[in-house]
Amino acid sequence: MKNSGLLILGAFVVIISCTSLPRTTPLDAVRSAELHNKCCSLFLDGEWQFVHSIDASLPGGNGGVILGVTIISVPHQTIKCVIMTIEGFVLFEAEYDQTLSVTRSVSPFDSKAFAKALIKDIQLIFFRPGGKMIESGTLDNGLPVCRYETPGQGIVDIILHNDNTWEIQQFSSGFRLNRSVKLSSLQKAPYHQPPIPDHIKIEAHGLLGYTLIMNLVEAIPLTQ
Amino acid sequence: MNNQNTSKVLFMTIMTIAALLFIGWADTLEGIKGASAEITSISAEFTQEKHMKILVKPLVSKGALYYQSPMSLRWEYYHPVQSILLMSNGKIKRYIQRNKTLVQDTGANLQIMQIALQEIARWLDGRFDENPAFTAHLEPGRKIILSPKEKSISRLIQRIELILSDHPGMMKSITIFESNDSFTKLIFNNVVLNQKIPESRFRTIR
Repeated sequence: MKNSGLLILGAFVVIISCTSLPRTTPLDAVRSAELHNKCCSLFLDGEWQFVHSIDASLPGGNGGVILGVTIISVPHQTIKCVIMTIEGFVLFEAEYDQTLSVTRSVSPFDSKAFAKALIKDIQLIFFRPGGKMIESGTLDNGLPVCRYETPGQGIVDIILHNDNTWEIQQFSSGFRLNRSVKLSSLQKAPYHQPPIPDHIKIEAHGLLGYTLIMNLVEAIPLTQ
Repeated sequence: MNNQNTSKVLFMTIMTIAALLFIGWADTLEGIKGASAEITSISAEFTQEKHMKILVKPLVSKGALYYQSPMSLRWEYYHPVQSILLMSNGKIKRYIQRNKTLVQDTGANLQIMQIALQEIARWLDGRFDENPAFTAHLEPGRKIILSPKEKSISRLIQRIELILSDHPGMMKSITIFESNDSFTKLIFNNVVLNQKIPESRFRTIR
């Protein structure tokens, strides 16, 4: 018993000692503003309906392929989402308009924690980080990064890659990595328009971690 | 003039005989079952439309089905995600596209799909009233309504509407209502009846 207590304490010390934000090298004011614009330009405006095929790898070796429908309004910061089987059977349906309302949920998608996590994942993928940009620069590997902080909610890093891909990393207020999202867009976006990600891989870290690979089936703009 | 009259009479006679032959087969569930007995196999393509209040346009999936009487079925989606459900001798297998290859799915919803496939096979065999969980009744317009008897099912499926095609034994569409504004509609086309389908179609994914 004493040994297992020590083990837990040891693991806790290791975890604490490993949690820090990736180091950045700051840019000058002009390049920092340019980078901030680039980071902001990765997020869509207006209202959209997306359909994705989602390959989910869940804790305990569970998982499968499902279809996800997401309707977002960027100006109103609202979300409607549906998860269904390929055969069209609805497993989960919810709306978020500053409060979450679940209209249908079938096991294993029937917990409140799942619904909240799903909405947070959608916000992380599609909405610009809500907080203030606190840093912009380059990481140790040379990739440009914009860092945003939302008080009480943590830190969001947006990392730009050179190959039409970008990454969103979300850290807790204690700087623990909670989510990693890798996004890519094969289709070149029209001039001055944000790219529509056609491949998204989201990883939730931690004991009950999961991975979702989302491939875009359809993107319908609902506003001009 | 005489020839024209003879043609008209001949045409009317053929139409009357045809009408007499088909009158009545869809008047009762028993009649439909009898007409379905003539069918040994079905190959068809289908379009699946998912309608929901929140969708600006329905979500469309496409696929094909192969049925061999009495209980062999292949239910295949081509788009948006390839998926194949095979039912042979009461056993079911499901393959799904993951990482660009078809892999066998052993997930929990396989059991649900087994029930669904057995139900579809029953409908294709004309046995609409055999599921004790549903009440079947026939309405005008060759429409069969299946209503769940238990609340536990009606919470998930409000009702199922099957529209029969003009050809005895075949369905034109299936609509599964989850609620009044959320339903899945399957529309069948390019139907081929009673043509031999190799047994391997129901056992392997090729």
